[in-house]
Amino acid sequence: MRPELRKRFVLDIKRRPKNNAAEAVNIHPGRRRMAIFTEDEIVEFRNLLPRVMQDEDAYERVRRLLCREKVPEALQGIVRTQHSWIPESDIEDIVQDALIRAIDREGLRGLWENYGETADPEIWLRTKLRGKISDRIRSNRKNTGGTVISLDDWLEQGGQIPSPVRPLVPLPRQEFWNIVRECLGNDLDFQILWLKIEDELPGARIAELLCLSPDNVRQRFHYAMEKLRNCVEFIRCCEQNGLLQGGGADDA
Amino acid sequence: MTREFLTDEELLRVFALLRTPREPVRTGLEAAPPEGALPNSWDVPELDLTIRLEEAASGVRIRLTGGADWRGALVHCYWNWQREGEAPESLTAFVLMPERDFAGRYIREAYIPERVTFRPAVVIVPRYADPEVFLSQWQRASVKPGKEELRRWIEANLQNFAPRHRQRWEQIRDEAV
Repeated sequence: MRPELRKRFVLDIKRRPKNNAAEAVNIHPGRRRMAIFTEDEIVEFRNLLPRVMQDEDAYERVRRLLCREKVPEALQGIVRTQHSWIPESDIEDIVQDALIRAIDREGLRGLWENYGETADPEIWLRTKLRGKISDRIRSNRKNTGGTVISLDDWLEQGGQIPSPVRPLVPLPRQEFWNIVRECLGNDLDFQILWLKIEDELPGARIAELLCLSPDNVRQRFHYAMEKLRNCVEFIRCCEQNGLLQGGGADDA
Repeated sequence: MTREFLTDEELLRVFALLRTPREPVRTGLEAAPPEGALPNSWDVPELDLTIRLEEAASGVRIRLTGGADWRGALVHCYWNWQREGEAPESLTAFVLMPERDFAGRYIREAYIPERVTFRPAVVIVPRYADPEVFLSQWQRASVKPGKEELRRWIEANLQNFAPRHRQRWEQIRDEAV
């Protein structure tokens, strides 16, 4: 991590005053109850994003927005809530590293190219955070010899998803897919997920079919997963169809 | 009260259940019935698409019938199979959908030089496509539109391609591989 970036843009968490990091935002179809950024901030982000490569001021403002006081605290909250297996002493570093990835200029350029005016700063941050946590999971698995399949593994591999669970009643598949499409809000991301689920193709093959680089597919896939996992309509549909019985385990 | 988020495990579980039940791994060009029979047809409402395979000479004719999203789309089709004891094989085809509809549907047929009887993976080549990756796939494909059709498709979509790729798309258009 570059010290000058950490010092300049990421405040020491212990010194930061406590505040509410979340405000409701009603922009996307799959609305989340609480969100990190206000509607104005999201609009500002989208206005600045196309200029980050050629305009130093625009890039600076995007970095400041993504590293605002409330952001690291909100991301830490997400880690505590969704990945309670991660030791408290590691959370700050994970969040800091995720922020460093999030403000990478090339990454921001890719975000604009892939999502244009629908680019969401919170989804972006969550994707980067998820990437850091996936690194941690992989590292843990190596050390403990665990075999739990992760989303990363599933994307890379071909074949069926390993799951012993079978529905008791037929699923309203078309309804589900309609909701998935709406939550993703992006035809390409929908195609990636469709190829993965229905055609069981490995990530590399998906990339070839869609004429994309494997990295691009991976990034889009993770961005899409962050949208889906936080999409109220999708979660509700899963609950109503009894797909979440027995709760979810942490991802360690 | 609806939960706030889904874990990876829950997402994987839901995806496993979303998948349409079908025959397991295809072990031959001609899969076990009913997929082995021709003609064969799949209605995919999630994609607003119907795929039909009919016998034709020593191969098959594929007919794609799609809704509005498929208008003018360059479609990439992929079949893969593996005979027992042999290496996996695959075949890809590019099919350019028409600009004009017939009763609200966009229909295109193409001849596939293998007797594939099972449903292919089908995608619309996106505007985010990397021209180098596209070129590599185009050159590999067993079936594809003519050079003039490719030129017209690139021209029609040029302004939609990512700005950093546009010049390369123009080159491909002009060289008409």
